[in-house]
Amino acid sequence: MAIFRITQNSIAKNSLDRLQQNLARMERLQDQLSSGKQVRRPSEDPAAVVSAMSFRSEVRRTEQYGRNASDALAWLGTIDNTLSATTTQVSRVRELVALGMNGSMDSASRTALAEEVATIKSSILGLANQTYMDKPIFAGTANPAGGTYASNGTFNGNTAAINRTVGSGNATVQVNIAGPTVFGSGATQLFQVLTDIETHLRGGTPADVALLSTDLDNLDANRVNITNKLAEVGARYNRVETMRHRADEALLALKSGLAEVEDIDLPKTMVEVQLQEVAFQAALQATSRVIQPSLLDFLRS
Amino acid sequence: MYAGLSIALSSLYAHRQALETTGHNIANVNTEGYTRQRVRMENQGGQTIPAYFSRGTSVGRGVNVAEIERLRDAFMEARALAEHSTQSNLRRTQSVLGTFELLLAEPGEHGLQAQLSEFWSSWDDVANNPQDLAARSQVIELGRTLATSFNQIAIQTNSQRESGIEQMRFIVNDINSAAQSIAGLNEEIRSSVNAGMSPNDALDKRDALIAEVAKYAGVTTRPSNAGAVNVYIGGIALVQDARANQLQVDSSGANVVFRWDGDNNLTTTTEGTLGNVANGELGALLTAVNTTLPGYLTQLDAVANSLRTTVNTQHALGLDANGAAGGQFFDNTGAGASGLTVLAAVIANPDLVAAAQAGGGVLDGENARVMANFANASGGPDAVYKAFIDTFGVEAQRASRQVAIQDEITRQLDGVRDAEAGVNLDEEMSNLVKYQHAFDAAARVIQTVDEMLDTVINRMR
Repeated sequence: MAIFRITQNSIAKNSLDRLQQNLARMERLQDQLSSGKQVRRPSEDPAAVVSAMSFRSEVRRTEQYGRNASDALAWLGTIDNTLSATTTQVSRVRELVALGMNGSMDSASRTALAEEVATIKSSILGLANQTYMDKPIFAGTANPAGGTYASNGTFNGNTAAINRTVGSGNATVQVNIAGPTVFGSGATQLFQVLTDIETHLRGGTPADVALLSTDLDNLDANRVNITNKLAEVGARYNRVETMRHRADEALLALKSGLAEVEDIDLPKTMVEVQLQEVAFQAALQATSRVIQPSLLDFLRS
Repeated sequence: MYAGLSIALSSLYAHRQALETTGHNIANVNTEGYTRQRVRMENQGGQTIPAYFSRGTSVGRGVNVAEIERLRDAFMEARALAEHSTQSNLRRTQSVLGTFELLLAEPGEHGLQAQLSEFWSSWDDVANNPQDLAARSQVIELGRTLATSFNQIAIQTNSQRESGIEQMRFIVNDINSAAQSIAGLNEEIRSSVNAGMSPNDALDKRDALIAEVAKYAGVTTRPSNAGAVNVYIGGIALVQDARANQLQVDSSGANVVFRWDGDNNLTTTTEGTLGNVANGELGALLTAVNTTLPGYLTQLDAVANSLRTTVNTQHALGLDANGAAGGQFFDNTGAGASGLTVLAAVIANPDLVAAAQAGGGVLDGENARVMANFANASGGPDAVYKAFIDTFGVEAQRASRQVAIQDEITRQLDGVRDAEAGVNLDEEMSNLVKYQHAFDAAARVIQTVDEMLDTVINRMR
């Protein structure tokens, strides 16, 4: 817009307005530098703000997945150890039964075998009643007062699953395993078989010895089952470990994404501040020239 | 001969007036709203109508100051009223949105989004340890913190609305007193103009007052007789000749309205015809108080209601630590953001947190685990909240941009107005020289005539 007539006032006003704009730019840059954030409010960049909010909630969620995964690993690790120990004990019982089936044993030796089987049985009962952080690992979601298994082998828990969310898209893993799944139920339950073995060893009659062979078959079936369950738990453990690594990597990516959206690029902002300071000084100098000579200075007095 | 004296005298008078006007301009170079004045001189012609016996020589009779002009472009002034009104309107809107924005504290670790994330995650911690009192207490505490934040934002939004209404009252008072002054000036100017004078400074004062009212509420003006001006807001006269109308704020209803109190005879603010103020600061405040802020409150209520419903519905599907069906987590008797609270019974007894699923044992945390997954739910409270922030952010950004554009327009317009009406000291200085020389020349004429008279009277023998 061409203006043909300029007044002192319009020059002064314009200079002040431009100075104010410069100052506003400086204020913005200083604020960015001191807070470290490039977006302070939704009005500055709504898309970036919503993006930052999404990143932030994803970060929190992924951190939680990591925590859940660590908890799951502890559970599964405990079950793994317990089942390994159980397998070892069951193998020992197998040896004892094989010895006991030998017809040339006398009753005193058989009694000694029976005693050892009894000891191993209570040891395996102890393993079956194992807890993790005060929670019985084989009792499902119950917390029976006398332990998962009573001393006579009765299962006092339930078969409910305990799950953990370890990844996005509701990736869940079951961290427990129900007692009956591992130790069997009914007549072929492990403790029942162990009790039978003890009874038959103590009995010593040829009928008992014949029954010992049935017991051995049942014991083998249990042993195979426990080994299978061990493999299953191992597989679940590996899966959770993979999920936890993925969560850690995702966390890194998310945090850097958040920083990119939210945080300033420090070198760039510092350079901008320097440039703005120079521009501001130039503007101040220009404004000082508003006090300029007028015709008055040149008229002869 | 004596005619020569009166011719020179008329020049002395006229140029003295011109010098004084120039001095007035120089004195007011920095006065806000001052319009430069310029003397318009016209020559006084000699006798043009012949008489029967006397026929004059038709020599002119000197100079006369016809009027003192006020150099202002009326079209630009009218546009300036409109643009300044729009500028005040947009600035006020930006200010309202900026204040609300500070309440939200997004993005950041203290905003509602971060608190929602913490709340959902704490349910996972309960799922991992359902028998742990600490985990249950934690989820209750985070729920309470979240509820308090919602309450706070609702309360502060309402108080922002209240202070907006207060501001409207203050502005309306200013408008009313300006109207009284304008009416008084109208009276003054009319009697001046009728007497043939140029009341330029009174005109400047009146224009300044009208500009002020325009910034407050947006006006249209129409010239009345003898230099008076009628001022209208929303089509209804604020000032009509020497009569001023009164505006008032009626906040009795759900929406705030303006009412006109013509003869100042209405006793309450709920009487009087409805006024229509759509521009200026009042227009912006009206929109903020009636539409914008209640709108945001409604959206916030929607987020709070979504949170309450989602949590309570899932909570009811589970069992608490005593095996009883889950009751409410958030109190159902409250509504919206201001009524969001954790149920008092739950606060008192963390066992009431329904972590277990139906049919589960005492160590079941499945219900809590499902609850935690609502953080990612596509229509869940987080999604509703993000959509709200997005919409609000876009609106606030647009307001900022509009202010920047309008500021530039207004600045340019003011520049053009100043080009016409502003005082340029160089110009005034050269005028001073011009008029002074003319004054000197006129004085010289008097001296010359005086010498001629002296020759005739004293020297002729």
